[in-house]
Formats: sequence, C-alpha cells, structure tokens
Amino acid sequence: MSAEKVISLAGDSPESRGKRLWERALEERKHAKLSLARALLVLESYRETEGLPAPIRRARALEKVVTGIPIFIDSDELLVGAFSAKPMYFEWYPEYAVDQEMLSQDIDRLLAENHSRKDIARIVHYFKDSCLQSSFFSLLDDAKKQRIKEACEDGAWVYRAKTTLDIDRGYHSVDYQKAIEKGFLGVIAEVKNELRDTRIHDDDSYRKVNYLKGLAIVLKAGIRYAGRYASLARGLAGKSSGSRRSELEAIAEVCDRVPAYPARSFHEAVQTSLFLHVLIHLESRAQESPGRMDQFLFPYYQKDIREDTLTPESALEILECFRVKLSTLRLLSSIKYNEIVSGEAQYHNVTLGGQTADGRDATNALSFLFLKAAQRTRTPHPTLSIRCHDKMPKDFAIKGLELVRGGLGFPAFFNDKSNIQWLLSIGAPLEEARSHCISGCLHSTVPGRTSPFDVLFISIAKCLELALHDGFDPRTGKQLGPKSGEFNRMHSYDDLVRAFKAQVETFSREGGAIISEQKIARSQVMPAMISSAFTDDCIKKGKGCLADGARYNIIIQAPVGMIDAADSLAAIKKCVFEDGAIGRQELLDALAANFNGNEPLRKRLIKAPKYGNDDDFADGIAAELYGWWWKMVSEIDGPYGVKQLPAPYSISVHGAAGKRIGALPSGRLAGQPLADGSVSPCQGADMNGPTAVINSAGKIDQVPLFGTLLNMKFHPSAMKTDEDLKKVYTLIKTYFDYGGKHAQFNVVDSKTLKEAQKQPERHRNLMVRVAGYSAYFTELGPNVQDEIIMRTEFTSGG
Amino acid sequence: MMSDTVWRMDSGVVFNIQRFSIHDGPGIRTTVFLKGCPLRCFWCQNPESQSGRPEIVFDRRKCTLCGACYAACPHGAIALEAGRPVFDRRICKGCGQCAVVCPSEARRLSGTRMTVEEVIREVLKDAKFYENSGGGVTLSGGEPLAQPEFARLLFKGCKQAELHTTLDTCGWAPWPDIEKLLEVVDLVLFDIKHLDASMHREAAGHDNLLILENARKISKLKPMRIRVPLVPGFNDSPEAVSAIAAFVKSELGSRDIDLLAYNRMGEVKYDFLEKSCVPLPSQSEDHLRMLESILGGQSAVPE
Repeated sequence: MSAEKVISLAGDSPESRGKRLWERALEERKHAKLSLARALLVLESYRETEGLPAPIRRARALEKVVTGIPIFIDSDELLVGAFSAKPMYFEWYPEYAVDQEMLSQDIDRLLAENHSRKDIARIVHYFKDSCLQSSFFSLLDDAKKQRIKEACEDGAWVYRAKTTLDIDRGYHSVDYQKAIEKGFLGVIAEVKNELRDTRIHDDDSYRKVNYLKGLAIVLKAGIRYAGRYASLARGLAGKSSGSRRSELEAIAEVCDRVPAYPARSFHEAVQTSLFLHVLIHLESRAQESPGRMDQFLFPYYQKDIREDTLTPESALEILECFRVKLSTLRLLSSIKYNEIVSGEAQYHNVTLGGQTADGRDATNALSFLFLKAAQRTRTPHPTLSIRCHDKMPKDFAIKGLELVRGGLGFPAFFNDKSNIQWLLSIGAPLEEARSHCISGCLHSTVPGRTSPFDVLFISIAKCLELALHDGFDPRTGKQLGPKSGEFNRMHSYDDLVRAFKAQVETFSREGGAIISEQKIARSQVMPAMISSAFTDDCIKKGKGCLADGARYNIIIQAPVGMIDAADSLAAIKKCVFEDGAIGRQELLDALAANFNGNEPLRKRLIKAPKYGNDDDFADGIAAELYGWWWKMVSEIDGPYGVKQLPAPYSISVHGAAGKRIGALPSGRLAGQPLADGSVSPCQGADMNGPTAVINSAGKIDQVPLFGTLLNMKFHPSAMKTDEDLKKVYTLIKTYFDYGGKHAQFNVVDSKTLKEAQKQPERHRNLMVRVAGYSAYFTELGPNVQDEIIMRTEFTSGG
Repeated sequence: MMSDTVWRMDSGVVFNIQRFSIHDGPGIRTTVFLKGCPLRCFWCQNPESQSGRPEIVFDRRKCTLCGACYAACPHGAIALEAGRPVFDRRICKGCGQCAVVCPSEARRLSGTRMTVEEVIREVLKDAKFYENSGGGVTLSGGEPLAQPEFARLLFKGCKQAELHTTLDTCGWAPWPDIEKLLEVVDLVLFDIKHLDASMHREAAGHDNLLILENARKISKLKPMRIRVPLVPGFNDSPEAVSAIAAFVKSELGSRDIDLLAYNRMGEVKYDFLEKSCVPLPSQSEDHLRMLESILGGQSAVPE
C-alpha cells in the first residue's frame, strides 16, 4: 500500500495550517460568547410562518437562518461554513427548549456584544410555551408530570426524560456520498419527481406533499448559503494579494459549484461534506456523524492525485481544515452557566478503514491521512473510529495507536465481525452491514438509511438501590418503584436478583414509553429536514427520518451502572448470603451511613469478587444481567412499530446518575460516579491488568448488544515503543476474537496521577510498567510518585 | 493453613503472578515470580523476594488500627500496645491469617505455596493473548533457580500446553540445575551486574565467577539476552558498561544487551518489611542515552 509513503512524506511540520487555525480558534474560544443571531432569525421566521405545517415552518426557519446569519472567512481557511455567527460562539436553539435561567443577571457577561437582554426576553417570551420541550410536557397529564419530576433528573434520577428534547439527539449519519455525487440540485430533482407523481387525495398525501416541499426549500437554502460564501470569498480576494488571493478565488469557485452540483475535485467533495454537516447543525444541532469519509472521498482524492491537481500534503491540509471546523462547534443546550464553557461538539464520528461492500479491506491512503491530520492539528473533533477486521493492515492499527499514545483519547477501535453480525441480526443485507459506519459514540449504523436516535438512559445502579429498599428511594424519601420485597426478609440471593430485575423492568418500560412518545413529538414538531433529504427512503415515502421515513428506525435504551450493580450483587452474594459475614440490616445501616464508622465492613465489601478480574464469580453475574437485560429491552415497543434496542453505553451520564445514588454494596461511596462505558470495570476494581479485564468483558455475550463500550487506561510506560503498541494491538485483537465490540484507550496524564495520589482507592489498578519491574502507582511512596508524575509530564508534554 | 510438613516437589512459593507483562520476553506474557534468592543486592527492588519463605508485608499507611490482626494471629506475633498492633517478625511464621482478616489490605502475605497445577491454571487464562502476540510465560523472582525442581516442572507444564518459556535469572546456581531446566526453556534473560568480582561480591553477596561461567555455558545452548540493571554509582559508568559489553561480545557471541534503568519503585517495600533501604537517585535520560551509545548496535534501553 502506498499509504505508508504518504505518511512519511507528510512529516511533522509543526506549523501546519490546521494547527495555526486551531490555535487561533482556541484563542478566540477564550472570549467567545453567546450569539443570538440564529435564535433571532428563527424567531422572525416562526412569526412569519404561524399556522403552516411543521415541515414548511422548519424549512423556512432554516432558510432564514442560512440566508441571514452573519458569515465570515478566517484569514487562513480553505473550507468555509460555520456553526455560529462568529468564530467559536454559541448559537441557541430556543425552539427546542427554553430555560428561564436565560433571563437571569448572569447572562450579560455571556451575551455577544451586539445583543441585549431584551432580545433574549423576546425569544423566551415567544418560545417558552411553544418550544418542543414545553409543548411535550404541557400535554402530559398531571400524574405523569409528577412522576417525571420524582423519578427523573429533578428527582431520583432513575432515568432521563426531562432534558432529552433540547436538541435533536442525532447519533445518525446521513448520505454524504449522495450529496457529493448528485449535488443538491440532483436531490431537488428527485424531490420534484416525487412531487410530480404525488396527487393529494387524503391526509397522508397532503402531508407528503408538504414534506417534499419543505425538503426542496432546505436544499435550495443550502445552495444559497454556499452562494453567500462565494460572494464573500470573491470580495475578500479582491482585497488580497499573492497566494491568499488565489486561495480565496479557489474557495469562491468551489462554492459556486457545490453543494449545488456534483463535486469534481477532492476540495469540492470535502466542502460539500462540510456544508451538509453545518446545515444539519444550523437546523437542529443534531449530533450527526460524517461517517466513512475515507471511503466516499477516496475516488476524488485518487482522481486529483492522478491528474496532478492535488498532492498528499495539500489533501492533508484540507483535512486539517475540516477537523478545525468541526472542533469549532459549541454546545449550548440547557443553559447552566457554570457548564457553558464545557459544552462542546461530541459525537461527530469519522469512521476509518473497515471493509468494502464485497468484503475486501477498505483501508486506503486517506485512512492514514485522517490519522495524520488529527496528529498534526490535535483538535478534539471529529473523533475517529477504526473498524477492525481480519484483512486490516496491522500498520494501520499501529498508526492509530500512535495517535492514542499522543494523548488524544482516540481513535477508538471497533470489531467488524461482531458489529456486522448484529446488523445482520436486525435484518440488514450483508452489503449494507459491511458498509456501516460508527455514529454517535459507538453505534454501528448504515449511513444514509438510519434515523436519528432517541435514547433512554436508565440508572441500573439506582434500580439496585431501590430493590434493597423495597422500591423506596432513601435519598428523596419516595416510594418510586414497585414493592419488590424487603431485603431483610429475603431468603436467598435469587430473591434479591428477582426484586432488582423487577425494578429495572418497571423503569425500562416506563421510560421507554416516554422517550418513544418524545420521538414522535419530535418528528411532528421538529421533522429534521436536511437529514431527511439525505436519508433513504424519506423522499420516496415523503416522511421524515425521525418518523418511519428512515429504513432503520432506531430507539435505544442505555443502562448506566450495570457493572456497579453486578459488583454490588457479587458482594452481597459473597458476604451476606454465602459467608454470612455481614447481616442484612447491618448492610442497610452501613449503606445509609455511607459506611461512616464502619470502614471495616466497607473494606470487606471491596475485597469481595469484582468484575474485571477474570473471576467467574463476579463476571458471571455481569454476563447474566446483560443477557437478561437485552432480551427484556428488546421486547419493549418503540415508535412506528419498532422495538427498543439494547445499547449499553454511558457517555458522561455515569457521573450525573452517580451523584444521586447513595453508597452501594460494591463499596462505592455515595455520590461517586458509576463505572464508565458499559463493560469497563468500576474505577479501581480491576487489579489483574488488562488481559483479565478483557477476559471478563469477553464473558459477556456482546453480539446481541447494539454497541458496548470498554475504556482502558494505560500509563505511558506501557505504550512507549512500537513493540509496546503491537502488544496493545494484540489486546484489541484478542478482545475482538472474543466478540467484544469496542475498545478505547487513554494514556494516563500527570493530572490523573495527581488525582490518584489524592484518591488512591479509585486508581488502585493503575500500573507503571518498566522492563523487569512493574508496580501499582498508588502503592508507591509519595516521593517516588512525584518523580513518576514529573517524568509523565516530561514524556507526554502534559 | 500453613504447617511445617514437608512439601511435595511439585509445589513452590510464588510471590506474584503478573499478567500482561510486556517487557520480559517476546509478546504478551505472564510473569511468575518465585520467592527466594541467593544474592543480596543492595539495590534489590523486590526485597520481599529474598527470603524463600512466605512473609508478611505491612503497609502502615493503610492500617486502620482495627486490631483484627492481633485477634487472628495464632502465634502471638502481634501484640497490642496502647491500641496499636505491634508486630514481631521473629515470631511470625508467615501463615497469613492476619492478612486474611485485615479489612484494609494493609497486611498482605507475600508468597504463597502453589502447586504446579495451580500456577499452570492461572497462566493458561491468558493463552489466547500469548497465541495472538507470540508471548508466553516468564519465570522471574527472586531467583527461579532457587526452586529448581518447581521451576522445571512449571516450564514442563508450559511446554505441554505449547507455551513459550522465558527464564529470567541472576545466573547464580549450580550448573546441573541450570542444565536440567534449560531443557524446557526457550529464551534466557540473563542478568550481568558487574565484571569486577570483588565489587560484585561486595554489592550482591557473591562474586560473579559462577555467574559468568554459567553465562558462557548457557550461550552455547540457548537463545539469550543479557540484562544489565543499571545501579547508580555501582555499574552505570561508561567503564562498567563497556566492560560488560566487551565480555558479552567476546565470550557470549554478541548477544543483545538490555540496559535497565534504575527506578525507585521498590523503595517503599523496604518499609513494608521494616528493612532499611539504600536510597539511590534515578538516572537521567541523558545519562541513559550516553550509556546506550556505548553499546553501539549491541542494544538499547527498553522501557
């Protein structure tokens, strides 16, 4: 493969354009504010379109935004389009959710220079009752409202249903290839054909026609958006000289051409991709993924290289610009001032490698270039995912691990075998299954054919807490779950497991029903127009991708804290039911006191078998729970005739949910985060190293699960040489032989080590590995720890 | 519980089994650390490996003063003075009862007697990783040859399971034991600490004559790598390293040499055993690079 050559050719120029742009963006980030440009345009449009059908309203709103929002071209940029009116600013999506906190005094310091609180007041006034979130909740009866208040984010946090409607959740990936190959005009022609063939004769056909008209509006708006950039670039070119002048002229030409017409060059194809991605976000802020960019861009890359109009270096520069662009997307969802700066782009996944539809290795020169672009810019987004399979070149995996070693936390590695098997099991044809991309964090979806998701996050660990208290939540003092039996009177471990499962099932069904309704409300009120234009078979059916326009309609349940529950059950089984070392009331009392005054009892619980140590006692419990859970969830109805899918992952919910849970029998203290991911051990519980973790995770039957998440941390000493990287790759490969779905590695930085000094218990597993010697970090003396921290800082630059 | 019965030859004292060992032989390995060592190197990083008997290591930072150990000790090795457990190592039989009851893992038993079968069962857990990486099992210590028959039976078991075997040795053992063990060894990692016999004796308790002689003999029989634990002020001078390199080149047939940088990670364990540690500084990267350059192509500093 020529890819190797490309990489070495690119070298490590520290002053790449992408790096320059990103450094500037980081500087701008410090002063970035909340822009109301988008929200005010949406408000204006909504006033003009009152009474019109939702698809038209939404289309007209996007049209207003993209034709009215201020645009800019930064001095070095090669790609244009932006998620906000100014670099790194936040835009607001009040039509999804309005938070009264926006009216508080604090907003002044965040508000962009040209806006006032009066503007905010106007927006809040208009949307506070009619935004998606308000309209959904206002239609619920009082009992249901009360229930959500008590069981969800504002109460016990058994599941999340209150703050789910603030944006389009996304997690899908649209058909970029179609946009690039046909151009928006080609898609408009498709829409027009469908309109021509559709006679209005009933409700459905009326709705269909409106939908199609809406699609035509957003597609034309997208073309106008590019046209604005063409004019701006031309204007700027007139004022520039030298090479920047020709760059600006080139940008103008590209924007004249795309996304209206089929792309002819690599530059045009990437620009089409960016426009499409930006349009999706300006409409709904969906967390959509560009998918298999190394595949759909490759023909353009090859052609340009062949015709000598592109070099690997210039292609790399364009990819770097793409990365920087995606990293400028900010997230302002629910308005919590203290969290405002932490919100960022999140699940904008680019998938690399994998297989072709006919089962050949798909890794190409661009796959390597995408890694290189990330290495050079060091931007956090888009995150990269590598699809692993038997025919994958090992070099590619090793290059990926080199990037991991650099401390970016990606690429993540995915197992084709297990993921394709899953797609086949839900009815995907083999060729589509092989063409899947990773969207969201870790979901293998068929791009351009899959609906955005709705997700029920459910706190499994909370369900265990409820089961130990007969359905009563000790924290909020409410009887939330069914009366599943008093722990004190249970005769056996099996009684407890039954009670626990009853709690989980109750809330899975209850929460599943609510997010199912939410998905329908979303589809009715916010019918993701741009995404629908690029999702089969929305045009043909005249239905949105959130509704059953998409071929694969997805709604998922994500259990958080399954491993905490397994560890807790293992501890109870061992200490209470088998050894009789701890009494049931004694345990409940200790939990209620957060183990205060009973540290020995807590230590005993911590000593009990824990998942992640290749110990069948605890691993068996985790495997059994997952096996039961996915079958139970798969029978719960979703919207549009589909069932809910079992998709265990946690993003950052393990932190939020953990705050609302008291001490657990696993020994975890009240309020601490739950285990992250879905098959990762609890923090600090795995004491036998990564092979034991992988053996444990391998005992869970993962094929029926729609993605799993295994996070592993390494001290840089385990990833120092190429030989080390090969060994880490063997970990991945072996895990995938077992049927594991996803593995992601983090190189521990000095910050984590300092944390470990303060909280040794949660980092017990952290190992420093050097030739001839290895040691657990937390066991070392403080001065030696300090020395290792210093050396870690030295080798990783942070 | 431990007693003083005579142990069968197919069991031995193991003080650690470390999975995902990536720097002690090819591929992903499990390193089995056998207890007991004939040398007494002043810089030893595993002081708990020196004695061949199981012994208690005590991390006072973790002790909650709960007193459980006092109640559990059947030999009266732990007394209670003003509410604090006071431990008399001379009385301790290493039965480990106190470690079993210690809720905070402050007391741990270093060294448990395990049968060959038990160890093999443990190492086979990662068979898939060995297979995928070309790894296997490494015996280290302590000194594996301090329990020669146990070591041989372990490796025999590994070979029966078709696992690659690496012996990590200090080289101070009777040749017949080594020769017998080599039948089931695929690779030898051989420590050479110093070429000067008297300096060696002073630093490690024995001179190096037997060690160098064994190195010569092994080099004729098995693939081997030479490992030099760089000890500040003892052997990390250009002269000491050059001398070792010259010996290896002329007498062992140009074997690879790994220079192992000194690290202080073993320091804390002296505390755990109430022994005093000779404090040594770590080497700087520059110094390591310089020593490495002496070896030329002969090898490198693995980390």
